[in-house]
Amino acid sequence: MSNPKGSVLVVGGGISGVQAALDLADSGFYVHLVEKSPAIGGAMSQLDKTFPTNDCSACILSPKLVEAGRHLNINLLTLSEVLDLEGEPGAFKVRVRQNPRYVDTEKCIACGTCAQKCPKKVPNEFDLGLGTRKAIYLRYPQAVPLKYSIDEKACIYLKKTGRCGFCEKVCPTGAINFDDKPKEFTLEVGSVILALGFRPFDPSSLEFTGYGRLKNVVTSMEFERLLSPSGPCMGHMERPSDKKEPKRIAWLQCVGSRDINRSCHGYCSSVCCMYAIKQAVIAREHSKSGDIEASIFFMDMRTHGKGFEAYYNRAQKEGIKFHRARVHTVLKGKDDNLIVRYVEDDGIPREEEFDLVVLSVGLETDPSAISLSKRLGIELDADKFLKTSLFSPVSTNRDGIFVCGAFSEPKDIPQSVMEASAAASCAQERLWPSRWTETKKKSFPPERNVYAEPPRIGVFVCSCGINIAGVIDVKEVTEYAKTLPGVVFAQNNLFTCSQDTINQMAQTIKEKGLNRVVVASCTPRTHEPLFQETLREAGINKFLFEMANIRDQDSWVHQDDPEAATQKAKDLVRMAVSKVRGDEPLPYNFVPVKKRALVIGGGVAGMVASLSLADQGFPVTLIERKDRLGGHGRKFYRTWQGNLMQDYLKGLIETVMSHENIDVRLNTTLKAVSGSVGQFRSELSDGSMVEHGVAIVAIGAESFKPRKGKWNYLYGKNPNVHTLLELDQRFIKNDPGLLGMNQAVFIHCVGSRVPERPYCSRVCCTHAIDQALKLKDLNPDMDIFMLYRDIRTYGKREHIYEEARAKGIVFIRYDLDNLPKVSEKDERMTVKVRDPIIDEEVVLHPDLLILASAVRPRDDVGELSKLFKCAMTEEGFLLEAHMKLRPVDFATDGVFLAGLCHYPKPVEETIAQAKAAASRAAIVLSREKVPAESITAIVNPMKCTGCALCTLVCPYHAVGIDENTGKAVVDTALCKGCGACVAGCRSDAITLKNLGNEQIMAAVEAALEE
Amino acid sequence: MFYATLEGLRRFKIPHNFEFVSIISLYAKWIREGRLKVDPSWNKEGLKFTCQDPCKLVRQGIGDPVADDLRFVIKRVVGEENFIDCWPNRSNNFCCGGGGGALQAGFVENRRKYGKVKFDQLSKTGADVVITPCHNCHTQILDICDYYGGKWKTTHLWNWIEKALVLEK
Repeated sequence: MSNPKGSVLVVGGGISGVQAALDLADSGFYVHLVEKSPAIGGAMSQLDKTFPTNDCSACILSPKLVEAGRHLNINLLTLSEVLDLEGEPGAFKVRVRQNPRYVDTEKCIACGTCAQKCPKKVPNEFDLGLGTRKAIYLRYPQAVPLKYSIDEKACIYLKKTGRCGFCEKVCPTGAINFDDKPKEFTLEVGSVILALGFRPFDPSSLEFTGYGRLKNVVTSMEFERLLSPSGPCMGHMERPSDKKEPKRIAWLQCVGSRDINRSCHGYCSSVCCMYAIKQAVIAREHSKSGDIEASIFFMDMRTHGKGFEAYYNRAQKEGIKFHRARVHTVLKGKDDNLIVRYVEDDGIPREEEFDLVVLSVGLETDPSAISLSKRLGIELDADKFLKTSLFSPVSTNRDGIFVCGAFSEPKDIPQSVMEASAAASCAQERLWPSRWTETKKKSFPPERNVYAEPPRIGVFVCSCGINIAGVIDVKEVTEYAKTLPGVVFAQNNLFTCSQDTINQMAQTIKEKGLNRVVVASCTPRTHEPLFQETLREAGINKFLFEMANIRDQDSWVHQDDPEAATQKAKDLVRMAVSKVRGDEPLPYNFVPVKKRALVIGGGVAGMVASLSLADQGFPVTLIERKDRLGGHGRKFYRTWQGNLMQDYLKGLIETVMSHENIDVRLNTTLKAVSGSVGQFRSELSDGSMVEHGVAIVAIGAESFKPRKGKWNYLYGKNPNVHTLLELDQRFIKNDPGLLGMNQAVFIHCVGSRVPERPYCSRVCCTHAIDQALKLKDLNPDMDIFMLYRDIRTYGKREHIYEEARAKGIVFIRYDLDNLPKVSEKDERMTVKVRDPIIDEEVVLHPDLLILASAVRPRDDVGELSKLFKCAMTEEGFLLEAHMKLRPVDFATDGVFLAGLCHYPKPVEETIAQAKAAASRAAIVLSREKVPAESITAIVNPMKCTGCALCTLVCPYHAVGIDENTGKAVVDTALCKGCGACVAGCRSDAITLKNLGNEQIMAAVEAALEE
Repeated sequence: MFYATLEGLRRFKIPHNFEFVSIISLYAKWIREGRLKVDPSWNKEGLKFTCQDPCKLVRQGIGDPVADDLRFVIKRVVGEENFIDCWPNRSNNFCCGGGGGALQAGFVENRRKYGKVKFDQLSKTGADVVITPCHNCHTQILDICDYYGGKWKTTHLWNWIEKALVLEK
């Protein structure tokens, strides 16, 4: 076969699709990103805050979307759908239809004039119909692409040609195109990634909830919009019936999940417990009075992710009420209040009144995703999620087509992001020979040397439509700018960021010989890269640029005082001009990349990551401290879907050992690490040195063995008391001793979710239930009792919980105040536990007692984390760069993590995370050099006393003391320009380039001028 | 059989080319269309009526639409002002306490204890007649009325349609 195509199609512009696209585009592939709505962002853009960090969802998502929108190698195809696909892996032909936007994206500058004039209001689907929008609209304020689109079903002109057409008349750039037509075209790609996401379950069919009938019953997605500052009530919570702030709010869990009766969704939606707690916490924060009573009605509290259990505990402490009850009736009370009837353990029916009821709706597959899978020949399971195998969690039944995100199973954002990178990795394993073959590269003219020139500053004052000009007298500001020293040119533009103004700016720079530029407009957060690029196109260094934010920080906040606002705009412009005058051209720094990865840990995570990189053509050094590969996988019997672990592991080890690109070093540990991304040098325990561009940490975890103390339960004393993994080993050996047993008891949460280890070990519920089913297979008459606290069989795993109950396995709940008691007399074990339903003590005499003990971090994690300067959680797991959106990166560039050292997780998630780590690593390894920060610290050796304070405060270990001179030196490859050393230096010897005293003081002095 | 078939079709998504309706919805349809003529003027004494929403028909079955039809028919048959709804009602109505085989299975004491909730709810309406469009509910409500000393009559729906029927001359 000839070389595969070097491009990939990603379907779905939610967070997982965007992440997959960014990973691929950053490592040398051209990506077509197809999204059916007018803007990317998906469900995450609709959320207010995200658990467990309470980060603002839009704030953490937007930079990713902007990056994807601006990426040279991502072709954003909004309003588009995939029609069909033919061909084979490496050379697919995909037919795509792009529906008309009726707005020319080249011309639209998103000024919003059209929407202001548009007379047609329709319910806003982004707010789930709680608010309205116009027929010409932006999907949401931070939409990417930030281009308006016309809803053809609502537009008056399009329905009756000749009527209305206001938008066309008022558009300042002539962007409206009513003659826009659907376009069909064929893309040739090497691989396809499906990130089709989910839709929230519609609870209208569940009449007992009152949804659709009672005004103050809303879904959780609707409640997100009520909480969101960009939502219909601007973040000041209002209930639908009377716009008053609700004081008593109830959340009903498992609406459309774990329900095989009405909603036909037997699976658990995985995320609802956490988002309900988050909504309760955030609602209390948002409330003006702060006296919100929040009650959550649940069956099992499933807080099984990293940081989730702590979040749950905190919510309980903060006074959020948790009722273990499935609410069966929501009735209308007085003043549109709601009466909730429920029964808890004691069996007594209770009624409670609430102002607002939130239905924690589950996730389901969108019908459009189901029909697309049919067209592509992709297999779905009985729950209508994509069918995957646990050992290849992001593969579909069709070779070359991969999946990520909630389309394969309900899952949270970090897991979706992980899978997105994993899917990208799978695509690269086949397409790597065609890296950089279809990508575009931007080239700039050589930069003019401006060192010797006196400052020739150009000032561009933006009107931003009426955003700025409506308040500030921009003409006056422009005239004022002309009077400032060094300014040789000043101009006012309607929209400085529009394509024609940008082109004209580049022209002006050349014609007028400008060597410094100030743009007085909006925020550098979104627009600085655009203007800096313009400078480069005009042949001057991009650091000779400043922005004065006269919109966000002036016209928007001083609307009621135009005169003062105009004065402030002048001040801001004067400050920017003063600063830019002292700015110097800075170098664009790069670090050459050593094309090798070091993988630490030879368990499943380490091996999968190594293999994925090796299959992409990168050499890998894999080190393992023990004398054989396999890690904990060697002790594990089967996955919950019945895939035998030892068979898989055997194949994996053989492939890794025989792979030409993998250098396996057994009995080897890491001694020392130096260098940074692209250029690490690591010393191994065998004395050898490895030079590598990236490192992947996959050192695993330990299983907790309750040899003594409160959780002992005869462990180590009776031969028939095991941990889960010990029972697995008896299964692996086909131990005949397991046959003929009469009774087994499993105790869950042994050492998890307790004060000394306050996290959930995530894997044990599913693992224990699967073992119980295996025991039942071996001994069909065996009585099996599961003593549990909450059953956390999240996602599709819920089905085996259902199966276990159907097979007669008995589940008895206990809590920390009523621990099971285990004793032994004459080799006969006795387990006593209080059953809360019958409220009586149950006495059991098991032949086999299984302890679902915790997964605990390795004791030596600290040493390794120091070598790579990576952080740890309180519990001792390794801490990723960002819990939500960077789940496999460390804050240290070029170092990644996977597997149990991150958090307890089942094998399918370990494999996904390992592949994700490989994908992130490939972004570095696929390049000859990686960019480094330009704005770095610089030491003045004349002033430096060598006190070394800077080396202590630097969070990146970028500063050291030169042994010969005794002075501080900055490694510019490591320096991130944070300025900690500058503030720390007591001798005033360190400055940041272009942010030194010279520039900052100039701006400050300008601010204080009259 | 109604519920079992309906739920079977739904749960297992069995393709079928027929519609599943309750006779109550047909009564309502016929009355709306004028094909079934009823006149509430027989109820000169102003007998008060309430009704039961059978679980299998309403809450677990077809849902609120059929409960609304039931109320529509009753009101047309006995007079709008003579219908007193119980609370809660429709999809949120209480179970009679006699379903799931309880009527046939012994444990009479338990069954009547469950039925107490229903009894209290129905008593509170003060109605003279409880209409139960389900044979099972009928038997249970008849029994709890007798056992706890209720004052109402328990009947099916058709008895009253017959009473209000306007015959073509």
